[in-house]
Order: sequence, then C-alpha cells, then structure tokens
Amino acid sequence: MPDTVTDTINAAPTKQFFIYMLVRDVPLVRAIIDLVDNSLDGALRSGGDRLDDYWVTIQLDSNRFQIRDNCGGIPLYIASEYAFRFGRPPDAPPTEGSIGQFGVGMKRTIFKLGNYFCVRSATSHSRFSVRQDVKQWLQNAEEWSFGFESKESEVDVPIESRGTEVEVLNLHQAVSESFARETFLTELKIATENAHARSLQRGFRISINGTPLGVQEFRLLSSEHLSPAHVHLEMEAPPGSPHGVRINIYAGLSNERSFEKGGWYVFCNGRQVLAADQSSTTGWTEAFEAAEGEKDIKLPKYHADFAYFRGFVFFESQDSSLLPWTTTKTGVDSDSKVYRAALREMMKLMRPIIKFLRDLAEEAGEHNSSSQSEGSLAEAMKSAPNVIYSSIERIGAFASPARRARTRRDTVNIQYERPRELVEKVKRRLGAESARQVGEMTFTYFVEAECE
Amino acid sequence: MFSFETINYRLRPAKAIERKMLCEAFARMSSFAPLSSFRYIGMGSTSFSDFILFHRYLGIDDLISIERAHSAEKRIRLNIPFKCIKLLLGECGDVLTDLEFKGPHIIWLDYDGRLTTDILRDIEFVVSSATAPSVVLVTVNAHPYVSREPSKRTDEDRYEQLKSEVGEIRIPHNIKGKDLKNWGTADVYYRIINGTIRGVIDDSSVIGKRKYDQLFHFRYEDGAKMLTIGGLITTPSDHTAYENAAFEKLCFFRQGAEPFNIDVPVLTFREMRWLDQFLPTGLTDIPPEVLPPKAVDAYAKLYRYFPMYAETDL
Repeated sequence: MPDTVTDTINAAPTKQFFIYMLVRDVPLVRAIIDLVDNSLDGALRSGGDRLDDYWVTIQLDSNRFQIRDNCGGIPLYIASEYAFRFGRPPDAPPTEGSIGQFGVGMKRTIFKLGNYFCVRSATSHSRFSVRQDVKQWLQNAEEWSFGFESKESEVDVPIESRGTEVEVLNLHQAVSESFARETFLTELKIATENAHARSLQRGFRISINGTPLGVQEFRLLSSEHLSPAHVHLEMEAPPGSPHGVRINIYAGLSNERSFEKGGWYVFCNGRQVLAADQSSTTGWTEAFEAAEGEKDIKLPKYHADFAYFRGFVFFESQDSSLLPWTTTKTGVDSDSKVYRAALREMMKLMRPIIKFLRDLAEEAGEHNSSSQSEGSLAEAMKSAPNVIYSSIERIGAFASPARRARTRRDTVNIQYERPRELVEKVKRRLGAESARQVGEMTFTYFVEAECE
Repeated sequence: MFSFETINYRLRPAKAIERKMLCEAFARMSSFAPLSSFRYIGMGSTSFSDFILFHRYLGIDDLISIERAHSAEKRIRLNIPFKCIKLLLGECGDVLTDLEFKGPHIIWLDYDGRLTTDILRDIEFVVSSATAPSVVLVTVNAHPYVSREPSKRTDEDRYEQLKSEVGEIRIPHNIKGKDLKNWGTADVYYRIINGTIRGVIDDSSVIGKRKYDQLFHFRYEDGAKMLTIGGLITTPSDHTAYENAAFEKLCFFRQGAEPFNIDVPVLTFREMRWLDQFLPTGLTDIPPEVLPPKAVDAYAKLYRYFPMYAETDL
C-alpha cells in the first residue's frame, strides 16, 4: 500500500479493461466481416463505381487468421494518426459513403482474435508494416502507441502489390476452436454473403478458405402489364451536416414462390442489414394478441401467399452516421426519422402488391374448381421477364392487370371437421343424407332461429 | 344487411347539417386551386347526398363513390344521380389501393361502423398518398359498445371490445373501460385518429414538407353517436392560400380536441321561420318564455344550415 494518498484520483482506463469492453459484445463472425468492410471501403476510396477489379481473401484455421486485399492500401498518414487509434478523431478524413464509420473495426477484430498481429499495407506510393505482441504491449500501462516495424514513403508501388494484409497469430482458445469447426466456416460464409450482397453483385470478389462467395441476384418481374414499384426519395441534410440521405425503394414480385425468401431486404451504403424481413419492422402487420380462443383472421401477418413478394430498400449517404442502422450494422434503428419516413413509403408501396397476391390466391382457388385455363393474373406473372432490380427505370407504384372480370361470387365456402360419431348423430336427427347436407341444414337452422 | 337497407338516410338532420357545413368549408378550397380541379372520394351508398351537394354547389365533376355491397350493384347504380360519379365496388381499403392520388383531393372516409384497425390503416394509406393541397376526413360510429349478451356489459367488456377492434397498442395508455361511456368512446376515437394522422405526417416530414391542419371535429347523434374528424394537408407553398381561405371564420371550425356538437333542436317549421326573423344579430330581441332558450340557442348556432323544407334529393 502506498504511504500517501495524492490529491488526484486516477481514472485512467487500464488497457486490459479497455480491450475487454471493446471486444466483448462483438460476435466473432461480425468482427471478421468488419475487416471485409474495411477492404470494401478501400476499394470505394480507390476506384469509384466499379468493383470488379477488387478482391479480398480470408484464410483461417485453428492457428492463424489472415485477410488480404488489393483495395488500395492504407496511406501512411492514416496509419500513423488514425488507423490504429481507438475511435475516430473528429478531424479524420471521411471515406465517402463509408461503412467503417466508427473507426474501431480493425483494432477490435485483432484483439478479439488473438495475441499477436501483423499489419502490412502498400498504397501507390507508400508501404508500412506494424507488428505487435499484445501481451507485451499490455505490460506498459502508459504507452498506448504502436511502433512501425518498417515504413517507406515516396516510392513507386506496382499496382499488383497495392493492398493490405492483416494476420493474427496466437489465437485465443475459443477463437481457435471456432475456426476448427466446419459449421463456423459455413456460418461465416453465409453471413458475409448476406452482409455484402450488394458489393458482390457489383463485382467485388470475396473468398474464404479458397471458396469464392456467391452472388445473390435481386430480380423482379417486370413487363408492360406488371410493373414493380420504384420510388426515389431524398432526405435533406440535417442542420450541421453537409450531407443528406438518398433512399431507393423497389418492390414487386419474384418468379420464385419462396416463403423464406419473401419479404423486405434493407441496405445501408451497400451493406445488407435486413434480409427477407417479414416482421413489423418492415411494415408487415403485427398480429396482436386476440382474446383466448379467438383466432384473429382480420390481420394479414406475413403469409404464405406473400411468398412472391420482394422488396429492396437502399439507404445511401456520404455521412454514414445518418443511416438508420444499429451500431452492430445488423439491423435497422426503427426510431430513426429516416427509417420511419422510408417505412411509410414502404407500407404504401406494399399495399397494391399484397392485394395482387391475395387476388392471385383467390383466382387460383377459383380456377382449380372450374378447371379452366390459368387466370389472367397468373398469366401476367408467367409472361413477365425476371429482371435485375437495378435495371428498372420507371418510377411509380406497382401496376398490374385488372383481374379478369368474373361475377364476384356471393357465396362463401365453409369447411370443417367434426368427430364422426357426433356427425352421425346429428345426421340422423336432421334426416340428412350426407355430411354436406348436415352442414347446410345446421347452417339454415341457425340462421332461421337466430338471425331472422 | 347493408346499412342502406336499415337506416333511412333521409331522416338524419344532424348529418344533413354537417354536410352543408362541410360544403361551405370545401368552397374555401378555391383559395388553393380551382374547385373543378379537385377529385372527391366518398362513400355515397344509395343516397349520394354528399355527391349531389358537392357537384351542384361546388362544381366538382370528378367524383368517386366507394361501395362494398357487391351484391347490390344494380340497385346502387340505379341511384347514381349524375354521370360524373364513378362507382367503385369493393372494400374501401382495396379500392383506395388501386387509385392514383394525383392532384388535389377531398376524401371523406364516411364509415357507418366503429373504428377498427382496417379503418386506421386506410387512414394511414390515404394520408400517406394524398398530395397537397387536400382535405381528408373520417367519420365513424362512436356509440359506446353494448354487447348482445346482457352478462357482458361491464366496463371491462367495453374495454376488451375496444382492444379487439383497434389493437392494444393504439389505445391511449390511461384509458379504462369506464371512460368509454357516453361520449367517452368518441373522445378516445378522436385521440386515436388524430394520433394516426399526425403520425403519418410527422414520419414523412423528412422527405417532403407536408403539414396537417385540423379543421373539423364534429359530434352528433341522429340515432347513434357519430364522430367526424379531418383537416387539410398542405405544403409550405400553400401558406398564403390557407390564410386567404380564412377557415377560422367558420363557426364550426375546430382545430383541436374540443368538438363542435351538432345539437338539432326540436322545433316546428313555423317556429324556425319565426326565429329566422331575429337572426343573426337580433337574438336579444326574441320575446322570452315563448320557446325553450336551449332550443333557441341551438337553432341560432345552426340556422343557416338547417333544411328549410322537407328536402328531397331530385
């Protein structure tokens, strides 16, 4: 125990605590995807619109983790002032439309994975490497900086050598075990494919342990008679920010009747945050608690008939803090003003599509019983080409052909089952000849006794 | 049973008065755009009284009536008074979904029934879709719920019924079953509908600057207690037109939770004509103790909108 107590209270964080707080709530898969985000940021910084020339590969096993990309590299001044800071200083240069807004990605992932790291990077005219044993670094409580193992500026780096490599060794026990599991690898591949669906579509190549990730294509049926909804909204820059938010919404029908794939897909600066969402978050109505014993049939919660529905919402902004994603980038912030405004539009655009799908189901029911050729709505769907959403230029609400006018039936079909014994009993009592007659007669009985 | 088969629409004086008041208010929309450029969407049933009034006195000739009684189509068509009225059959929600909301609108969702989530969603859709300048109104039956079963007529039951109709989430948090008696249901309905309209406007405000100004809050009881609430949807560029329209000069103009009650006094035609001679400014000259003062006051408030003779829709 020290002899004297000084006048000041030491409130400085310890490195151990800091690392603990930094990594603890980040799932491993997410931490790795954060690095892919950084690579994508680099690609956007370097090349603008086309992503075909850029790639990132990940190699991992129970002993080591490595990610390499050719996305332009980290400039020296960013490396020394910003890339290894914890948090993003206000004067850090912005990356256009950056996904990596919070500035913690790389460091957090490194600490999450293991105790020894090496970062090497080369831009068109600079190179550096940083190497650190984390346990050693922890020992010096005061000194938070890292040192460059090597750095060079004003050199010419050939294009094929530009990029970044991050390697982590001495993996933590739990991480090492996860990396050895096949299921983890699958989980990582799927999560990365989802998160980066948009950039993969644009040509960005990502591979994990040698397997390239697949491209999901977002397509909608579009023809002269069946047009998907497409609106473009602009949210003005809020006071104090130079940038606004652009919102693009597409909604319509897929040619694939898939219950799991139906719903809304939401993207923020190209990063998918919701996939095939079927909840009230994206405007599907909540089925509230009906009284016990009552089934609430009035509200259309996401329903099998809607398996053809596909909706895509893209939020884009130069200022990524305006985007309505959660801090984990794995969901939307439903309280965000931007999101609420978009949600109103989404709900408005959804309605005619839901109505079409209901009509389609009814039409299918009718045609089953009368064995005619397919209804006009089903035909319209069959003959419409399945186009990539981004090729849809027409702006407006969903348009569909009117249902072929059939005199609307004034009767409703009632169907139910009851125990055989009971039905026989009632049948005898009524003098009915078939189960169908039992139904008809009991219905008439009630109407006469109670309704008229 | 459709409502036009059970309610004789010709014997609803308060409703007739409300209609005339609304007509007078709608006339002021000429401040914003020529009345002939408006589209009116309503629910005419068989009487089409609102359609007749608005076409005759406002000159609106783009009129749509939404009707859910498919089976009575022929009967409804028989009753259409003018060629410029288009009849669209189907549930209100379905019909609205197919419409294109271009240009200024006057939309009156005039329901006969109680407030439900379907109605609230229709309101959200209409408010979301309407382009400024437009008027949106909603009328619902606000009669306190009474169950068919005598044993289920407690405050609790009334509350449960409300819950099942509009969903627990939409009910203002401090409401209990006993608050739904008399005009309490109308109070709650007002809060819910007003909240719904403003919710849509507020949420969409970051995209396009639309505003909602309430103009109407009517309560009346021809048979069942009814509630009408509605107002204007505008953008900042409509500001001058709004000032020029001077809605606040209308005696029935209501901007908030305080309603305008249409209390129809029971007076003979002869009594009403006698009172007319003292109106509008000679109220104090009326000899006292001839007619009940309450009836005189009620009449004075509404006299300009009163049907003078037994009116028939020709």
